[in-house]
Amino acid sequence: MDEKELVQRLKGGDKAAFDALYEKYKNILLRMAYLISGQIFDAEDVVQETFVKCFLHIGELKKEEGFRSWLFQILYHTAYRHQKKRGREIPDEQIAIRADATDGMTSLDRIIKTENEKQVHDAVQSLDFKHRAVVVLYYYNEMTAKEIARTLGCTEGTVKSRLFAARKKLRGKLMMNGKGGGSYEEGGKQEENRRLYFL
Amino acid sequence: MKKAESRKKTADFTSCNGGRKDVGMDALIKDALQNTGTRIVASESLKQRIDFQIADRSAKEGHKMKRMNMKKVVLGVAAACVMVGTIAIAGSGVVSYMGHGSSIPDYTKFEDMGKAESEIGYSVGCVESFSNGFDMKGIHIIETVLQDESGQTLGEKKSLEITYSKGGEEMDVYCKKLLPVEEADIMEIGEYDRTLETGGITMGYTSSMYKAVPPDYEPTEEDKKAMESGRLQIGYGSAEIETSQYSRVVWVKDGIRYELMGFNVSLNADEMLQMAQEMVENGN
Repeated sequence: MDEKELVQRLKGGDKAAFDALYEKYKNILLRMAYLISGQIFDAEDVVQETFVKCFLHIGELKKEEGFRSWLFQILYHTAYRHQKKRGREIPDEQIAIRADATDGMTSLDRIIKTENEKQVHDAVQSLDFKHRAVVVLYYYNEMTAKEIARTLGCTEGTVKSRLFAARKKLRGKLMMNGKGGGSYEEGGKQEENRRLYFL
Repeated sequence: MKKAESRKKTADFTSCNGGRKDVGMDALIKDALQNTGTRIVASESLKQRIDFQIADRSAKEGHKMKRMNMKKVVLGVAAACVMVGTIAIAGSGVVSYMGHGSSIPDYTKFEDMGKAESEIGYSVGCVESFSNGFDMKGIHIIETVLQDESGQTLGEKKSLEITYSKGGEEMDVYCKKLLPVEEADIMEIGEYDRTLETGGITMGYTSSMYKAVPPDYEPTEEDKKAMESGRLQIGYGSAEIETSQYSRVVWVKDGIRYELMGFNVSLNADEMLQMAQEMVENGN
């Protein structure tokens, strides 16, 4: 069954269609949310809220073909609000509970394996939310400026401008990390760091 | 020494990428983000939490929506086939309705009212024209599916929506046969702004604000208070926030719930109650 048909069935209240769409998008959304928020706990909360809104408001989606963009749009706005609300530390006991809930994916080391990944992760996280979101949609989701604009509810020009500014900042960050070297350079990782340094 | 080595490496790198320096950075960022992403998988408990929250929110929103006419949910949705509404009914095992109606009338002539009534299985006793000049414009048949918590279909039924127009103004009459589990839908007399009784039937008028909002809109505290008091209804899906005044008269006769409604109508409470009275008396 194709996505359009699943969305049509979901509009008719078919829970099985929702489950199928969840299976299709759960990891895509979770990865996007993680890359945007930088926190796996936050990412699960954002994805949870996104799917709940999807189920409750699917009737308001005018064109089934636009489901993917619509879902990404909800995720983006939910992540943005989540980011604004955040700011308090998660209590230790809550971390223990959630560690189980996230199948142990709480350690950054289990997600980020190489120094390149760490440096890119740190550089991307240093961007503000809107620039970070554009970077994730462009590099991770491989969306065009037009698709990103539709998702974020802004113009293509804004997307291009944000992407330009983000790349400029990323380049500076990555080069700076390469020069600083020491903090990430350990044993066999040295060669990887050179790649960053020579961008 | 280090600077010279750096320049050499840079030159080597850019030459491998057609002289476009950013291609290397693009590839690096893309690889790093995509590799990182593949190691993140949704937990088993995530789906359970989503399902729980959907059930919980459906019940809460359904409670708030009990008094809403399904027409409001589709405001601004111009699709030919649309979901009409989702309503939860506490204590009945039925948690939702999913209704489908077409924006294109099933019938456009009053003579076809009999056919429409045959299709839904009961008579509604509507008028062709009201004394204030509103004439019937179209008859819509709305199919409703009753579902339980797991999405299992418990039953189906059909309702009618009749559109009347006068000049550029439109009013709708929504008629549905009440099931026992829907008794909770009926408002108490005291909840209406004004009532009128005719032939033992009490008709209640209310007017409230309807706010069409984007999908990600979060109700303000003011919104929440207004919603709690029944003075505001919110419908998600609009590109931007649009507000309108929603007026209606509701009555129940012979197990059928009628709702005469309109958005930003020029009619006052007395005039709308008068229209409802004409319908009640026409059906006697």
